[in-house]
Amino acid sequence: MNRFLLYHHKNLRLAQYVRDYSSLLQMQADDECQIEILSLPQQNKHRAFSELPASMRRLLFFAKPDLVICLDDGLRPVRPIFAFEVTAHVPARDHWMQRFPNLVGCAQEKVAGTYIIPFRMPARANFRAPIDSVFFLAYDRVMEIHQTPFYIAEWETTDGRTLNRDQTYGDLPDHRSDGLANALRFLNLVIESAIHGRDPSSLMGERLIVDLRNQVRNWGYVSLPHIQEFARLAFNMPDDRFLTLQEVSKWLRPKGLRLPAQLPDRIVKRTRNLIYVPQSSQAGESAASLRETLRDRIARRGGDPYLGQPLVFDYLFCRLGPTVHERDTNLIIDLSVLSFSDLARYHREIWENSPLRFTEFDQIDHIPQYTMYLTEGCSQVIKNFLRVYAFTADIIVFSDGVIYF
Amino acid sequence: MKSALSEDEVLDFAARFLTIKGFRILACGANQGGLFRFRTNAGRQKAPDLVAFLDPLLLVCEGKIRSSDLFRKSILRESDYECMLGLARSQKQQIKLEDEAQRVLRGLGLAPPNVISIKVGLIGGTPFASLTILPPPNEVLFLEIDPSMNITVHSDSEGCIPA
Repeated sequence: MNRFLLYHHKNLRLAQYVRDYSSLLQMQADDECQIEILSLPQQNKHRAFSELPASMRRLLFFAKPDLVICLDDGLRPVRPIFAFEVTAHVPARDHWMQRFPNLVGCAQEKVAGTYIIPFRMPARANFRAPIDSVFFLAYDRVMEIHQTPFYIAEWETTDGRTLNRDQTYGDLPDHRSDGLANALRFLNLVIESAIHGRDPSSLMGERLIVDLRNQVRNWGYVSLPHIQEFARLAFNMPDDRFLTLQEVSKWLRPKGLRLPAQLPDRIVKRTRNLIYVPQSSQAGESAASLRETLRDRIARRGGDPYLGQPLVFDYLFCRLGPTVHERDTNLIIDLSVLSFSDLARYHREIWENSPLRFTEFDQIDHIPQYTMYLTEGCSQVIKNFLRVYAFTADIIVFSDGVIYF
Repeated sequence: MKSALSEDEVLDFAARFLTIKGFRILACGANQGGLFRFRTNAGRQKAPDLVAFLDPLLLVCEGKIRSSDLFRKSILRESDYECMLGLARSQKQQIKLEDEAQRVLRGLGLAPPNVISIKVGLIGGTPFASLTILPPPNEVLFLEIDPSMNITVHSDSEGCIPA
């Protein structure tokens, strides 16, 4: 019998909501499946993380979606098939970029997903603007690049101020609203497809998916994004155009830095370079204060709001294929307010506590964790900021050196 | 005493219990939307773990697996108990939550009452009685979940939770 595992990230109610309003409940009633609701490990360092199916670990590489549905068909390894992300706020640009990685890991694993979000709350006191159209465009790029269907469901409001709520789950959207009805139809289609072992990319041709994607495109392609629109790009590229590698060298010179001589040919051969800097408002701030602010953000706030931003710019401007090597534009991250050692201290901590430091079998007290380190290195357990930046960048510029990937 | 429950389960049991008692759950769990967020005495924004409504009462709770953790504070943060007590004593924060409750109830298609009274509560997965420091009665409601998944309500002198 098929078994569905609903892994939630601090959101048990969402797991129950999805179970109750999707086709899963009826399948369970008909004795066609079993459903288990489980909690995701809070931290990747936790032992339970290493015991998750490998595909789940890869999916969680960037961040944890609110809910991941896995299928165990009794034949193949347990595999994730669908993910949900929910927020009750119309996000400003920084905020949606902050949560962007939560579903990108799913796309990389070809796991479909839905983002539930209010699009506009014009009568709300603090944030009257509608959602940024670039948000939709970024997700459309993710769909196109990974050939994995996503849907963005609107959490509706009738008075522009109050979110419409579900009668049973009052903290979640009304499951009968158009957006949620679409999202649940989409989920039911994916469940049906997964039970029959179909490749998720085959869903891209289904009429429901085509219609839902057209909706997202309609919202997203209001205008194409320009470098100039983003202060964190325009900071080092004021002419609203990509730089050549010669121009990057010239940009590094006043910092007392130079490009390493042995850059990989993939980086050298690309003709476009994009430089992203986390802190775009540097005027009037001393180098020491900028460094302290960024260090504090990384240490105490998981790098937010900067964590997901390089990944967004990767999908908007650089990426052409499913891996980070499939780009025509180098992504350079300007961390020149920090020194190399500011970030290196994080992986040093991980290295010192790694089970790989042991050389006797008796010293290994948890084999899944040991073998995870052996096969995946420490990339799953290093600080999120370091993990996402190292994954995304072609080049990272520190105050005292330049590293490349 | 160590509890076998996760924090999600503690909150879920409390939510089910309150639903049986006639409450409507307005927020529960991670509360990532920051519903019913209020400002603590230390100036920090806090989104409560569970918010339930039974006309005209809005019950605002924090929950932990171990009851003692509700009273633990770090150098930078107040304890959950201190935060909730602060809310119980702050008319300004209560007005903010009343306003939000009215909006949420309207979002559910319900006509909110003109006056909403707020009660704060603490939910624990281990006995409160084993704690050495107990907060003053009447201001804070205690919901205690025992290992056989029964819930006992303490300090409910006003009869907020129907029998």
